[in-house]
Amino acid sequence: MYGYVVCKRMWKKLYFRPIHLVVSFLQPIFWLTIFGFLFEDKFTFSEGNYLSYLLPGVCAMTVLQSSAQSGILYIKDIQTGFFGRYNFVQQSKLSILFFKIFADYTRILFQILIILFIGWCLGISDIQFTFSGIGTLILSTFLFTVFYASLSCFIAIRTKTSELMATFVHLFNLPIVFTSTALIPNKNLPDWLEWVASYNPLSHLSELLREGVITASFESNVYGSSWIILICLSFLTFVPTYFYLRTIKYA
Amino acid sequence: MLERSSITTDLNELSIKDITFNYPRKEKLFEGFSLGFNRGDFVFILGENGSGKSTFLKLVLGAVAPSSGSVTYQERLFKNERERAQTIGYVPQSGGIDPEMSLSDMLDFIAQSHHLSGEPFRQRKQQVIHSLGLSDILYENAKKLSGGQQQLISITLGLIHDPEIVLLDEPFVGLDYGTRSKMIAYLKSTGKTILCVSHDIDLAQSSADKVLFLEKGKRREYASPNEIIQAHPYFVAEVDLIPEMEVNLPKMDRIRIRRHHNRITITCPDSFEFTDHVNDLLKQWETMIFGLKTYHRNLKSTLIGRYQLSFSDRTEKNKKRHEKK
Repeated sequence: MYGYVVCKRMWKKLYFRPIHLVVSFLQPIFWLTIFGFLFEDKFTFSEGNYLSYLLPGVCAMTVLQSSAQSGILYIKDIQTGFFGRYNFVQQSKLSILFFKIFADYTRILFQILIILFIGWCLGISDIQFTFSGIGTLILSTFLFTVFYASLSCFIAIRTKTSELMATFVHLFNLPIVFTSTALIPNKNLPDWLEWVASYNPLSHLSELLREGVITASFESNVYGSSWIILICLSFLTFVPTYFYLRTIKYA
Repeated sequence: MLERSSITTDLNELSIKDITFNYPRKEKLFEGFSLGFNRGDFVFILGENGSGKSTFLKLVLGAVAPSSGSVTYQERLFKNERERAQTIGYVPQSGGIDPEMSLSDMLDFIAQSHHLSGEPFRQRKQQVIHSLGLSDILYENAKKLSGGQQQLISITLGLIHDPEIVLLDEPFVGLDYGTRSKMIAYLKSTGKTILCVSHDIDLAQSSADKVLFLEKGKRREYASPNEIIQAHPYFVAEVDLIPEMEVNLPKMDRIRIRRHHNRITITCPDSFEFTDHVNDLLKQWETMIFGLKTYHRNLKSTLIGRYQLSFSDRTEKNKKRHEKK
């Protein structure tokens, strides 16, 4: 029930202020249209085209962007004093954080579905919805979100200002995006960048989403290693969570 | 300093025992501080800015940890944070509400956070809303409400889980007289132990069972308002001057004269001297007087007279601003 009221709160906020949701779709549209059509002929694929390659990458970027902004609500709550109110309750602080991230995760899933729909509208016809594909999409985005959202929440309660939070988002997100295979295929990257991209979690999220909703073969040799990287990433969640709980105790 | 049997830390509902606390890189605020509160006590905590009032509440709340000492409830330590949150309701100094939510949604949210749901929650919600007359604003977005109504919501949220102890940090700021009276009457009717930080000495005199007066983390008084007045019979006169008029405040033995905006407060420990001196002063300011409030003896005069309280630093700020101009 607690999870329900947390999700209800977040969705109600989005309902009354849909601009946040609308803006979150504009960026993917720009990536797909401008970037997609600009580089359409630059890269060749044995199957499909660049737009089909780009779509899961844009979905992964949206997951990164949205989970990195997870802490914004905490900053608003700190500024209004509501944060102190719902953290001095019988619900454990760990579960408060978990359900907050879960609420953000439901929003991220919704955003991905809309982006896939936008992609279909732009002519990307090889989107597939298989049982395994949907499972891959749900699980991979969850593993990625849980780490970045907890990191974002920790930074939010540590910095307490939206300016510093925005700095964090811009400082880290762009390098993560451009050192990944979200936008450009691995074989087209310089050697050193290819090596960096092979350890970049965003590359692995993109690959899993590609397997999940585009190729749906689940046979790629990166498929297994991508899961391992994302599971390791989700295990790392305990680091920001630990510091979050430490900070909140004396906030 | 007044001492009463209730000050002892034995057999109290809530006890603070030998608390020592200081903020990082600051001198000690509380040192070996002990105090007990009985069940149903409505205690006003008064003191100057920085005297440790809000920190005192935070210590009880567990929001800050003392370097030594303990806070016990019914003669035992809180088992964990959950029990503490269940026992204590807290209304923060400012806000504490989400302006984009309605009262109903906020109550649902906070009640669920306290594991309160189903029929018991519906009954409790109904009872609180009915008692405080909040039905009209139940589904209104909080940002559309007045400051006073938002403050009322903040108090309601602190009470929804029916705590045994309620900590209020300046809760009545922005509330009109009627709402404030209704709120105080409701709080008193619950029979809960209530600790209320305030700057409103008049309200403390009319509403509090006891007044805890803090000065730099030390307990200067802890007794009923009447006991404090009886122990220190200070008198006060408040003179309203024509705004912006300059007067030279004379320095007089045993008489304290302070100015706040266009109001001058004169306090004195002796009634006979007091009236004579006030009359002399009034003659000096004859052309500027705009109204004289009657001489009276109350908690305010006692606290102001005895401790030279300045409950607001606005006078100094205004003075500096004026000088700059």
